Amino acid sequence: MNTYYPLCAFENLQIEETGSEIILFDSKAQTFHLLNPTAYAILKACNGSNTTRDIAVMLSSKFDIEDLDSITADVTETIKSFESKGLMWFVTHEPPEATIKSGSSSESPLLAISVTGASMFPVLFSGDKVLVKKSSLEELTVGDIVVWSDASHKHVAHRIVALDTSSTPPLITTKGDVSHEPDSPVEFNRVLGKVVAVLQDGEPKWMKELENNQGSTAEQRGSRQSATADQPKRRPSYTLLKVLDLREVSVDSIQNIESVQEVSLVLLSPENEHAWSQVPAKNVKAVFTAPKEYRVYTGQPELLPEILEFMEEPLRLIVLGQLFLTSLEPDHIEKVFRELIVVGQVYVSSVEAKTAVESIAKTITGGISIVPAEHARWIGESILGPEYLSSNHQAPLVAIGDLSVSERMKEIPSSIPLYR
Amino acid sequence: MGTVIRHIPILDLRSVSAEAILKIDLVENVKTVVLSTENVEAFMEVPRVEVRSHLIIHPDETLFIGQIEFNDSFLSQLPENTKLVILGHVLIDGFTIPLFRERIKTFRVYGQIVYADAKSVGALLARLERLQGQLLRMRPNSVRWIGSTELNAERLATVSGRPVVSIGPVKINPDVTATDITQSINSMVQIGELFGSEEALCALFSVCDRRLGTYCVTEMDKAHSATV
Repeated sequence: MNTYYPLCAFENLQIEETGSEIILFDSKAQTFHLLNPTAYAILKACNGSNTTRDIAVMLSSKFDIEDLDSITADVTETIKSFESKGLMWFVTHEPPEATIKSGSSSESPLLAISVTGASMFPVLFSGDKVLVKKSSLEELTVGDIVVWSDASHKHVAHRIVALDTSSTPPLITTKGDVSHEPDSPVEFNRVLGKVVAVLQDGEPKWMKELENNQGSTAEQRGSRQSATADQPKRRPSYTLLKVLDLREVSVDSIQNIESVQEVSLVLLSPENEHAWSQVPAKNVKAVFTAPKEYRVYTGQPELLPEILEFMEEPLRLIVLGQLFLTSLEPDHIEKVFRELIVVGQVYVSSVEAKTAVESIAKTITGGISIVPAEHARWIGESILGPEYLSSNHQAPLVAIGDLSVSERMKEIPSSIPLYR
Repeated sequence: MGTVIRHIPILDLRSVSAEAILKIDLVENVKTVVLSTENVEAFMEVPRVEVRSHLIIHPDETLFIGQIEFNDSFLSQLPENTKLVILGHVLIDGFTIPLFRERIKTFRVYGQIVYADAKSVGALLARLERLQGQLLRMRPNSVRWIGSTELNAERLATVSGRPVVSIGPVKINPDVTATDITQSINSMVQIGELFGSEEALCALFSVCDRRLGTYCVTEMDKAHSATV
């Protein structure tokens, strides 16, 4: 037999204590209730984690009464009275499969389901128990958090981002708050219900409260859940990054960095560059101070002569990777750039263009190569086979990275102009 | 127990308070973390492993996540002087340049830009402040293969002589021959990993004008080769 744990619907209650009486205003039903202190103590103990017997034991201790059976009977009656006034939910901590039953949603207990993972951070934390109310389709709206069950009966607590009520059966699409991709749509009959509250350390927090107060709630919970709140500021390390862009970071935060390792490019601002000298850095390829006016391109950008028609001022550009200027004439290059820094290689199509790049570049770590303006370009790991000879390619091939040659081709034919 | 966030391609923390971010114990295996100017300092304290990039969105910037056909229809939905940030691929067949200049003040792209119209991309480059990805030319009216692609006879049949733009891994079906590929595709831009037999891979490379990534000769082919 399932055990049901009473839970007061404090979500809709305003409470005022006036001497020996407590006034409850039910904002949902627009009704008032008067309670004596004992009834109020029972109501407060109905937190979704205590059984009727637990509450009786608490009252027995508080009021120093030994007849536990009598108190239990009184508590049961009081809770029934609350239930009749619509002030009471009942929670089951049994597995959902054991408790889901047909009938109207209002008669069903709230299902308490444990949460793992962090996709709903900071509303839900790993270890929370969400209280799920069986809900009709009409009761659900975009923005509600629901729990649904996948084909392997694994439960997912995510937020509704779309409702398709026109399909048969109706479909619901959910998403974790910190996830980018929505989940695949699920049929409504796989939805267990809507999350109405969360049990945190045995105490209920209603969704309205959690959603309206994410930051401070997380702060309060952090002090309870994690020891980090009282610890000194944590010191991050950065490893294996292409670009570590610190231009918008404070001096304090830079000084707090524990270490930087295996980073291709670190960018600093004129305001914080002096802090970098205190950062333990290992295998950092390049460090540049770049004001906000600098553009930063990572990868293999190619600038086209058409840019000249639209540019408002010459570029101050930092490139990490390979910069292709093969379509630009030497005079284009002089007009396009005010300053150029390249951590990598520059590709141009003539000796004159190379000279032009040399005249404007502050730094090019990987040199300048001359390749034909029209070419096929393979970057990364590539493989060249005899099929290339029979393809429609007329242009030379520029290969950057590892180029393997098929064993079916003894050597690269001279008919394939190759630039490596 | 603290909060650990792992194995998410894009972790969007823009709306999360600094206080809440400070309670994260670890972020692991995330491609891009999206932050606001309000919480970036807090995130500086969060331990992280395999976090490839951080993207800070300013209050006056508009972020789009996902693949975008960057055309007049898209531009006309934006207010004037939008500071646009795109996390995803941008595909440009062409747009009306005065409309672009009216709607886009600055532009940041974290993904691939693939374009067919040089004039359009010239206008775009003039306002492109940040690019993390490729800027590649495709031929006009290209077929798009976005995401993981299974290259089989049916898919090849749909090419119908049009150029192909492929972003994402391509697995070449064992039934597809090198000749099938070279006869069906005469021009391709491909970004991503390729899987297939050695001959099929060589054929696919041979039709690529622009190509970025790695390749893998499939085990099936290796096994087949060993028994021949």
